[in-house]
Amino acid sequence: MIKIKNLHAEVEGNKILKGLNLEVKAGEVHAIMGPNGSGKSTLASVLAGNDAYEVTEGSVDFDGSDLLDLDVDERAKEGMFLAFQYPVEIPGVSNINFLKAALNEKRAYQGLEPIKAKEFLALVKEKSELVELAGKLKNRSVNEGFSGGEKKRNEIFQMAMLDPKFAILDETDSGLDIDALKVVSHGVNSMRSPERSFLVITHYQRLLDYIVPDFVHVLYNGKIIKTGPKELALELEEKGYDWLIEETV
Amino acid sequence: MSVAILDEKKEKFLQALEANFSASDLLSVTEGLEFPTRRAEKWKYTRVNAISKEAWQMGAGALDNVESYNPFPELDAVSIYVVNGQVAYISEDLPEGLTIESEHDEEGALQRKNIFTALNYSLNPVSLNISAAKNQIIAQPVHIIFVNSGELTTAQTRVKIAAEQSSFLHVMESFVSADDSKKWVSHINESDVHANAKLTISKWQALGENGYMMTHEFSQQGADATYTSNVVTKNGTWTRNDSWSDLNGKNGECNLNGIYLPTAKEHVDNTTTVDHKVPHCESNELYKGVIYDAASGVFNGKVFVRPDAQLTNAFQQNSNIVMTENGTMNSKPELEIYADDVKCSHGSTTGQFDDIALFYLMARGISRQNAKEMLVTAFFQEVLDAMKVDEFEGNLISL
Repeated sequence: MIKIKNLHAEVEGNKILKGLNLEVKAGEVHAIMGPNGSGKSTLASVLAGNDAYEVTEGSVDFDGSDLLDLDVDERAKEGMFLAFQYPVEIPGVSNINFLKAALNEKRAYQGLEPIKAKEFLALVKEKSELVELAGKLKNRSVNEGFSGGEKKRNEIFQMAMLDPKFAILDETDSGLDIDALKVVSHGVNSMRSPERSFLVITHYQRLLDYIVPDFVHVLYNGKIIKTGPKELALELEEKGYDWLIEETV
Repeated sequence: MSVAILDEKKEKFLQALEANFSASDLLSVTEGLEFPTRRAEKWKYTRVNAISKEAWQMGAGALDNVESYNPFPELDAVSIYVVNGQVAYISEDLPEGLTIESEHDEEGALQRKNIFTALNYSLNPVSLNISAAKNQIIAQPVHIIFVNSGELTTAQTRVKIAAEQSSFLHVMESFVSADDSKKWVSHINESDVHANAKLTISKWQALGENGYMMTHEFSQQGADATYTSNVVTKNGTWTRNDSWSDLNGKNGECNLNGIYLPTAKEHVDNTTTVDHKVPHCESNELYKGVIYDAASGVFNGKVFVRPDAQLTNAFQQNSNIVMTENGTMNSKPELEIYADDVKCSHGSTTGQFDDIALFYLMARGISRQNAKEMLVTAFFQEVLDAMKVDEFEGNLISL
C-alpha cells in the first residue's frame, strides 16, 4: 500500500524526520508512538502533503504512484485520508456542501458521474449515524461551534464518506473522553477491511485497546527505533520510552 | 506654492479635455474646485493621475446587440440600457407607481459639489430620474446596464431616485465594457428616501481592463426610511466609490455593503461618509475585500454623530485578505462622535489567506482552485447575506 524509504523532512530549517523507513501493506493497521517532538505529526503532515514541511530526501511509493510528486488534493483523490490532530474551523463553508464537492471531485478523478442527491443524503445519514453525529451537520459550517469530541467524530465521518484506502489518524484520541473514544474507535473498526490500511498516530496506549494494531512502531528523533507486535504498546505504557532510547544510543 | 501645483494639475486635466469640450464651459463650471491630490486626506491612497491627461471624448450612444452585455440576463427586471452615457433603451412595460424619465440640467443642486460632479453635470446635462410613488411596492428591480466602448471615451451619467413615502424600490446598476479600450466612467446617484420608504441601490462594477470608474452616491433619508447601498467591484483597472449618506429623520436606517476583489494591478477605493444628524438612527457598514496579486485597496469610512443624534447605533467593519506579498490594503474606519448617549463601534482587520484551511479542504480531495474559491466565497458570505442580491452571489467568483 505505502512504502516509505529514507524519508527526511524539515520545517523552517529544523530537521524533523531523519531517514524514516516504513511499509504498510493492504489491510494492516500500524500504530506509531513516541515521545513529544519525535516527528509523529510531521510524518502525518508530510504524507498528506502540507507544504509547510519540506522533504529533503527519500521516497514514498503509494500504491504505485510517487506520492511526493502529487499535490495535496491528488493524494486524497488517490485514496489517502488524514484525520487532523486539530481539525480546522472554516466559517462560511458548509460541512455538507464541502463534503459533496470533495466526493464529486474524487468521483470525477475516477471517471465517475457526480453522486445523485438522494444517494448522497442517504450516505450522509448512514455515515453520520456511525459516529453519532446525525442531525448535527445540517446548516453548519465546517467544525464551527463543534466541541473537541465532535470535531474528531467529524473527521471520522468525513473518512467514512470519502472511503479512502489509506487513512492516517493523527492523535485522533487526544483529549477524548471514553464515550467519544468508543464512538471514534467503532467508526474506524467498522471500516477495517483487507483493502484498507491505517496508520494510527497516538500518544496514549489506551486507544490501542480499541483499535488493535498489527504493528507498533516507536518513533524517536525522526526515525523508527523499534517495531513490535501490539504488546509493545503495553510495555511502553508501563516502562516509558527511556529504556528504548538508551538502547538505541 | 502648493496652490500653484494644484492649479497646474487642474489646468492639465482641463486642457486635455478641451480637445473635445468647450474650454470656457470647463473653466466656469470648475471654478473654485480643486483637482484632488494625495495631500487631501480623502485621496491619500488613491492617485487620480491616470485620468487627468487624456483627451476624453463622448462615445457613440448605440451598440449592436446591446442586450448581450447584460451580466444578469435571467433577472426579471425593468431593464434600461445606457450606452456610453446615453440612454439607448428603456423597458416599455413599467409597473404601476414607477416613473422613469430624462431631465435636462447642467448644474444640479448638489450641496457637496466637487470637480468631478461639476463636470459630470456639464459634460452630460441629461439625468435619468426614477421614482416610486407613495405607498407603491415596486417588486421588480429596475436594472440599468451601463455599457461602455471605444478608445478614450468617457461616460458621465447620473441617476436620481426618489422613493416617495412608504414606497419600496430596488435599483440595480451594472457597469460593463464592450472592449478593452481605455475608458473613464463617472457616475452619480442622488437619492431621496422619503419617510418610511425603502430604497436599495446595488452596483455591479465590471469594467475590466482599462476601465477607470468613479461613483458618487448621495442619499438623503427621512424619518423611518431605509437606504441600502450594495457595491460589488468585480474588476476594473481603477475604481473610486464615494458615498455620502445623510440621516435627516428619526429612526432612519442606512446600510452600506461592499465587496471588492481586485487582481493584477487593479485599485479599488471605497470612501464613505455617514452623517447622523438626528436621534434614533442606525447605520451599518460592512466592507470586505480580497486583494490578489499586486492589487491595492482602500477603505476610508467616516461616521459623524452630531450633537443632536442621541441614541445612535453606528457600526463599521472592514475586513480584508491580502493574498500575496505584493498586495496592499489601506483601511481607515473613523468615528466622530459629538453626542453622549450612543452605541458606536468600528473595526478593521487585514490578514493573509488561511493556508491551514486551504490545506484542510485540499486534504479532502478538493483542488487548489476550488478550495480557494470556496474560502473566498465563505469570507464574503456575511456581506452577501447582508446584500440579499442573488445575482451577485452566484457570479462573484465565476464571471
